[in-house]
Amino acid sequence: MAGAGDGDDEVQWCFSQVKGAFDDDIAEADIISTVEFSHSGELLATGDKGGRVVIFQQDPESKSQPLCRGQYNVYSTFQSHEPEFDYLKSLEIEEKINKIRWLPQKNAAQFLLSTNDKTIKLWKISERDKRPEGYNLKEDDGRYRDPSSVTALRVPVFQPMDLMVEASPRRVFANAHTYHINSISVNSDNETYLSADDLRINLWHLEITDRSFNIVDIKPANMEELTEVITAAEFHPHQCNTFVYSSSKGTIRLCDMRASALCDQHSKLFEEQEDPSRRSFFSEIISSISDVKFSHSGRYMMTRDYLSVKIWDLNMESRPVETYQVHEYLRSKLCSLYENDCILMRCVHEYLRSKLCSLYENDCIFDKFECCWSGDDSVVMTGSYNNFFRMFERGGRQDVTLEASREVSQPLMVLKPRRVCAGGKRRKDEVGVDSLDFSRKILHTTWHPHDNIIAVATTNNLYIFQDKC
Amino acid sequence: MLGRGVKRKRGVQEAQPVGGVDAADPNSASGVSYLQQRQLVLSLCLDKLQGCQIVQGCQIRTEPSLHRSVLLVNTLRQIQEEMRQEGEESMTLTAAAALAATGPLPAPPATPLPQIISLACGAQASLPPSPPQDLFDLSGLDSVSSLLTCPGCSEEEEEEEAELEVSLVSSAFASSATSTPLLTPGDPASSPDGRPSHSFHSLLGSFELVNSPGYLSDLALDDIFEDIDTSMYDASDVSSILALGSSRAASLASPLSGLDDGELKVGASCPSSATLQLCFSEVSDLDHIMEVLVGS
Repeated sequence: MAGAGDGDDEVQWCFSQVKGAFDDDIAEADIISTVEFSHSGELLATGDKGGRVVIFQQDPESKSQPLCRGQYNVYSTFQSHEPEFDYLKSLEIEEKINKIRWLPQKNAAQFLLSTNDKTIKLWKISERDKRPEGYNLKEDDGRYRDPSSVTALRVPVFQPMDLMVEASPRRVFANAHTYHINSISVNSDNETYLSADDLRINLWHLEITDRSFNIVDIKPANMEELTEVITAAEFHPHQCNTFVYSSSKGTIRLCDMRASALCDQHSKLFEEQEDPSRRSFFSEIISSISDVKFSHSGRYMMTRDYLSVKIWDLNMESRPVETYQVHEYLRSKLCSLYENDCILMRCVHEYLRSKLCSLYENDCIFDKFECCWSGDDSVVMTGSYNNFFRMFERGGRQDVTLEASREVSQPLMVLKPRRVCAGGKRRKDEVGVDSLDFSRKILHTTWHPHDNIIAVATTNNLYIFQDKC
Repeated sequence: MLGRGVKRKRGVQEAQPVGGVDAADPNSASGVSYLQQRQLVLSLCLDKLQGCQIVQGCQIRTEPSLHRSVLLVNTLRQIQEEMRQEGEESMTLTAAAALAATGPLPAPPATPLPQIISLACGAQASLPPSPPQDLFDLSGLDSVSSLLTCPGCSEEEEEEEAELEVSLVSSAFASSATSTPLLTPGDPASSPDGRPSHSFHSLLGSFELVNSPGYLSDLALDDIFEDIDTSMYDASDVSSILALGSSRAASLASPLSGLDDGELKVGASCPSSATLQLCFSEVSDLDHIMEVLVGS
């Protein structure tokens, strides 16, 4: 994958589509906060900071398409969450969608779970392409007829109409989380799901909204003793009793719900011993795991920390089986990434107080990158800065850096591998570390479950790439 | 990274061999750059933790991220622990302890003075639209000294509404020959307090959601003050501070009685500005030392 056009069976990624405007001035509400393909891959959902969910649907394949796969077009848009106010703490609750997870399809309708910091909602997305006409007691526009004026009876029939896609909230799971929800995960039993915040994990039944079971609680009796928080959690794809959760200290715990009701005792603890020669002030911060994902097979799991992606075999707790460096060249820049916003804050404070909020969120070292598996678990992908994203072939064979940029936004344009120059002489086409744009980052990526189609979210644009066919 | 405000030139950076002496590399053989970086990280930590307040002063009223706060607090603890150990080591090495703050620092080891400020991340009630200016005077490293002044106290009339409280925790680690523990006026020879600071309880405590409605009634006023470290003060100073503090606590309790977070503990413990002025007559000395540290 290192060079385009190397071998015949090398995957070459081409631009397919981009969603969202290319404005220079980005509205905060348009910032994409989560992306997820459905189980069939036909639907692609995005959530944004404004609490909206946009679902794209893939067109059926047709030979007239320039690309051999259908394009994704807007299928449904709805406001999932609204901003709320917590009166107890006098704090706003953001409407930003933290995660979307699709339920496996059981009937004609589609269901997804979307969550903000405090509340999870189950949405039903259904199509309507027929309309009943010919009621006896109602006019077609809905007005009721006077019963005395009905002289004959007719049988109402369904008439075709323009396709309408409706999204309706079927369940609201609220008031179960004191801290900010960072993950939701649907169980393989299709009846339950978990939601995780900084200190607790709750188990819900999809039908029951007024109570949930707490299955993990790491809150210390005395908050001043708190040193570790939960950063992500996921159910095993096949074993409905197994889930994992990751922590800010770089550990992953695998728990078995058959062992006890409260899974504070882990069944397995995955942790790699730190290399003492690399210890720095930032060691703990960069070891914090931002995402954990099981492979489709269920045999492996992948974790993302600030600088690397690690693949763990569930049978081996002592260390990962594979480690891939995403942007190791940033290791020497950790101090400035940590400092990044402070200097800005100080200057801006003097002149432009109102901009502080967006700059405040800018401390790069706390960025939470996600990661994802390809459908066959042979490749993993994660994002980086400068709108770069990285793909690693399993077995350590090859890796590539690609860019989601406006320049490559014509259909069929092949993405050229990018290189970052970490030091020394910079070659042509390489990007120097100091030229990287840290405000353009790819945090959210998702891979089609069966096909080589990927969706990559920059700040407010969604890029869809596919392999050349 | 030589320190804030000092940019490394690009040419210098590129000229450095990979893996060689790099000011940003904490494993660098040079002790001076390590300490400077540590001081930088320390002040950054404080800035970031305090940043919650600035942002909230700008009326962004969402809860700060617990994840981020925990990571920052852990970093601070790590640095604190390191400095404490260094302080203990240098105590055993230099039997005759402190001199008054004098001239420029000699060559390393220079242990800077961390005044670890415990910050209440103002999580409850609505905040005053314009926070007191001196809390946010962050120009250069003098910011640390200006953070010592309690904002709620310098504006007496806003006391009852000032939910942003800064309670000072006196963890002074330095007792090296070149620096003075600033919180002991007239007692430079006192040993540093080796106890880990309790300064973070109010920050992480602000994330506590207390469910019982009877919280305030259960709270003994003494409990509010038991975690103030008073070993650095003379007994007479202590009693005057506590007397003033408890009277403020009483006056604060009623308007804030609807709220039952750990914030109240911190807010009530802040003594009046007059007392602070008394205690921190050495602030100007701190300024001087900080300038020296930055300059070296």
